[in-house]
Amino acid sequence: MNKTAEKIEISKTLSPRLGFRDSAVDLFHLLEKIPSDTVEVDFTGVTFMSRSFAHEYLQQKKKSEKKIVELNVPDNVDSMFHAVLESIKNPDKLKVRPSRIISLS
Amino acid sequence: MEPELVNNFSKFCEIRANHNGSEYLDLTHHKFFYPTTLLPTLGFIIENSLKVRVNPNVHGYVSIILNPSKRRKKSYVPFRELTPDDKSARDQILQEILKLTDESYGGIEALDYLVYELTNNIYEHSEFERAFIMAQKYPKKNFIEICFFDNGISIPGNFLRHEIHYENDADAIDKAVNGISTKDEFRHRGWGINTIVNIFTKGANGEIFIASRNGAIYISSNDPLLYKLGDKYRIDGTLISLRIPRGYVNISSYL
Repeated sequence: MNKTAEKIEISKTLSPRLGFRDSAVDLFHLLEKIPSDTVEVDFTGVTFMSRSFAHEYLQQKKKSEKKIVELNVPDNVDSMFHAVLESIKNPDKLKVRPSRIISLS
Repeated sequence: MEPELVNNFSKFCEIRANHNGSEYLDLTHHKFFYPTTLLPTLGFIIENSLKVRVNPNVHGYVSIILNPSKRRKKSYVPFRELTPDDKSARDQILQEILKLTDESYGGIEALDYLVYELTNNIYEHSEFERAFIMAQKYPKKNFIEICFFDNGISIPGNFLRHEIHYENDADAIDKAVNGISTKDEFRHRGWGINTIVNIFTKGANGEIFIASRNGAIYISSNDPLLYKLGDKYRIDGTLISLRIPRGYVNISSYL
């Protein structure tokens, strides 16, 4: 393995909008093929990241034996990563409690 | 008196119930369709290979959506179809839908969140053959209506497949909205619909209606309403419809 870090620009590799969970899986398939112990994922140009993508990205990163380093993470992307990590620590969701059950027939 | 989103879904159920079995679906009595009526009606037309008669005064885009032969290459029509086999087209399709919406209704990040999370759900859970998205702006009424409809295995059907217990289909919808997920091995999952409800009912002061098989739920800033649907109102698949008023939501406060 090469000790020199390699960098990929995620907005060009995938899309400026990181929406789909399976795209995060595809990304890590790609990262695993890079012959380097360290991969820098540059988020320059990313305008949106969904919660599903963020969750899968973090799961894949945890499983990877490579060192994955995020660069130039926009505030909204950072907020989404934090929201996912926070919800893993504290999985209490919004409670929706219907007051009535109505039959339509 | 039911909320208008529920009434619009009921309108589709009436249309379906009144169909006489002929090769034509007669919609000439209906001059106006919201997406919540239009998308399941389109699903019914396709599933039964029906031809359709529409009222001459109906909006042009309604006629185009209901007639598949007219639909191609009409990029301005606020409607798109997702296909299960062509995942590479999804991003482009969602970008087109987002361009047809108006970010003054919720904000671009909230709308991005909505369309990507619901589309993720459709691909991950529904086993659909056909799925449609429609977003229509009503500037004089001050809201946008966005509807997703897929003809997949439904929320209760998905729970059944994964042996998640539920009392009835309405209970399954209630559980899904409250974040029970079939893929929740570490309690990490099930945030998609749950946060969408939070963002769009609490943050945007909007409304959401979800119907799947024989259950449905309507959620707004008031008390949520759960529905048990008889066979006349049963939907094969899942319909999720939102009304979003003009305004901006900072989604980070609702994640």
